[in-house]
Amino acid sequence: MTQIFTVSELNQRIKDRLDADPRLHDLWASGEVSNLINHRSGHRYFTLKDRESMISCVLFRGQGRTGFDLQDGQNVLVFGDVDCYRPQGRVQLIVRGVRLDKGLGVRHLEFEALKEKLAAEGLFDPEKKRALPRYPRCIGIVTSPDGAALRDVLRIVGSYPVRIIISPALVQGEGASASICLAFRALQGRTDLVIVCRGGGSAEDLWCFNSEMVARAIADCDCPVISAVGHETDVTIADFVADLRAPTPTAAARMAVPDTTELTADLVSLERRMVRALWSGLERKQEHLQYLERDLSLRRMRGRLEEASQRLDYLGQRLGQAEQKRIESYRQRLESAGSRLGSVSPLATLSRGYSLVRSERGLVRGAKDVDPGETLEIMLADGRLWARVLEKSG
Amino acid sequence: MTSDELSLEEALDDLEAIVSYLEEGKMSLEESLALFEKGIHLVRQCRLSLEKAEQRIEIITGELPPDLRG
Repeated sequence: MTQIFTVSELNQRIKDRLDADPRLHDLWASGEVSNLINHRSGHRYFTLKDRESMISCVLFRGQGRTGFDLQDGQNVLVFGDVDCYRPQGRVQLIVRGVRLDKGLGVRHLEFEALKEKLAAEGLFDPEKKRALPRYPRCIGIVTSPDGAALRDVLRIVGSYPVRIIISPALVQGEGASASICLAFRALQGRTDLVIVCRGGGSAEDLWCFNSEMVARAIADCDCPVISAVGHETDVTIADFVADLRAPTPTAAARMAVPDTTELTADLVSLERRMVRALWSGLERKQEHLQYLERDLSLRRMRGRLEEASQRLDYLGQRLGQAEQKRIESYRQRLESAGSRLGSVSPLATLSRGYSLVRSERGLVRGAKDVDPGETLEIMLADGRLWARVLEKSG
Repeated sequence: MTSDELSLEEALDDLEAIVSYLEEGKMSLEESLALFEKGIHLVRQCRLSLEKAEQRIEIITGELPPDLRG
């Protein structure tokens, strides 16, 4: 007879079967922790997985103290019971105890192995990191077109004049790695900077950024790449290969374009420097002109002085001994002429006892030139006398 | 990347070069003035392009290249 279950009945039945199976109780299971959520309620939810399969786990508050910090990627042994969560028909492990298994999870081992391999190839070398363009013209963005990361990037880049090419990619789940590679390929030769970004998510969600093909796509990109995958604490292989790692998509955008406020301030200062340079150029020219002016008059004067002194030297040379003799003879001639002049001078006559008499009207040559009472000047060889005329006769 | 006029980068590069030329002060007055005028023009152009913040956003759609097709 065919029974028709309601969904609730079906889930109840599954739950009953699970509860009834002793092998599904007080069991140990080993696997890797992922998608760990520390809920506000104090309960912890995570997925336990191995290479092929996964199962949801719940660790209720107060149940099984772990004694260590449960984290994604850890390999653990859990102790508990299999249960069916009826509202969702979900089979899950109610965990009552967790123990850290030896070693890291498989994925972590893969991660470390790839990291080591790529590092050995030199893909992470600091000298391989390319400098970002100061003023990018065309920025490529590899991300999900629906993600918050894209909106964050566009919000920041929005104040700067730049061309943007969005190259859509799946950023989680199956095919994400290939999709990211394709998105990089599509930007080839078209941009001078690429931002590859994704918002926060579980280690599982971000896993596609740990693939070798994505690492190579970033390394092969023909322009610098900024990676911003997940939150600040998430580090992926993509971050190691990228030329620059940004903690968040918003930070990536800030690194990608210059701050327009700063640029505007730079422009003002450039303008100021230009005006100052022009003015100081003018002042320098003026000073130079003044200097030349001064220099010119000084030089002219010095030139004249030098010319005169040369002429003096020249003349001095020409005044040889012969010339000096001639000067000597001139002097002798001068002396003899002087003495001859002396013999005809009135002074010579006076020295012989004669005297000269002068009135106000001039030389007195006779009595008629003089009136009584007048003062006369009598010149003698050795001096003068002034005499008054008492009387005159003749 | 087609652009008829100077990109912001070129304009800023030119502007910086002009300022340092002017600051060297080795040019004639006429040259200085001509450069200064050009510089002012560039400042204006940069400012304008910053104010406009013109963006062209495009989204790539396309087929997978053969080697990436499943």
